[in-house]
Amino acid sequence: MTPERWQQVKQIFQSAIERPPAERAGFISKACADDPQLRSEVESLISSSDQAGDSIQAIAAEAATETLADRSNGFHRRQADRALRGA
Amino acid sequence: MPLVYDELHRLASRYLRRERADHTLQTTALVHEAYLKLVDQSDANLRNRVQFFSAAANVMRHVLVDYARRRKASKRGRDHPRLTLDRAVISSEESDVDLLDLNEALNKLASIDAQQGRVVELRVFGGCMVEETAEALGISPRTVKREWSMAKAWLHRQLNNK
Repeated sequence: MTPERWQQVKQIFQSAIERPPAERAGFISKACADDPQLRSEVESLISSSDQAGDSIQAIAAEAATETLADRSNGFHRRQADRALRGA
Repeated sequence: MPLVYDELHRLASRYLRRERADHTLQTTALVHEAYLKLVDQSDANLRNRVQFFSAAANVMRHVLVDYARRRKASKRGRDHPRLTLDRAVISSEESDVDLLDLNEALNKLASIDAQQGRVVELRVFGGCMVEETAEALGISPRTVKREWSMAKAWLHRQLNNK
């Protein structure tokens, strides 16, 4: 996807998502009237947004639980400390 | 700050001794608690706080990704068959794959939209709230919310269309 295209999708998605759900379809149809590909991309993201919930945070939280609970994982303390000091 | 890693470790162990099933453990809680323990609140101004979360987000991400990679490798490796078996029983392989997939998807997102990538890193791995993310990135809370909602949708689609 070109940067221009991404910006187009972003602008319509973000405007659509701030509208009440009942108004979204109409808004997207109008905003993408002459561009079915754009419309389908935005609709796909809206549908994914409805399903996403906390799935992304859940993946990280689960991984954090497992990683940090493993006492044998003595690694990257230096890496972590260096990164924090450099901040 | 050098104590942050030990502190995160300790907190995680404590959380795990509680009801495992309630899944209240969040990176948010971990990072925030570590921060409160490590930084003298009377000295901490917002700028330090924001810097801490920003750095912690990046460190947390690398820590988790590195661990998932190494564990995946150890499961596949032939050098330690006994360890491989033990670990396979203890943990689900799926979660490792998920985190590595998320990391890859997030790299891809950041290459398309650097700001969205950064918002996700702070929110997901730094446990930052909307306002903290806004402060760290020098953008408005409204922009954070907008970027976050699109990034979540994009990542979710990416991870579920493999």
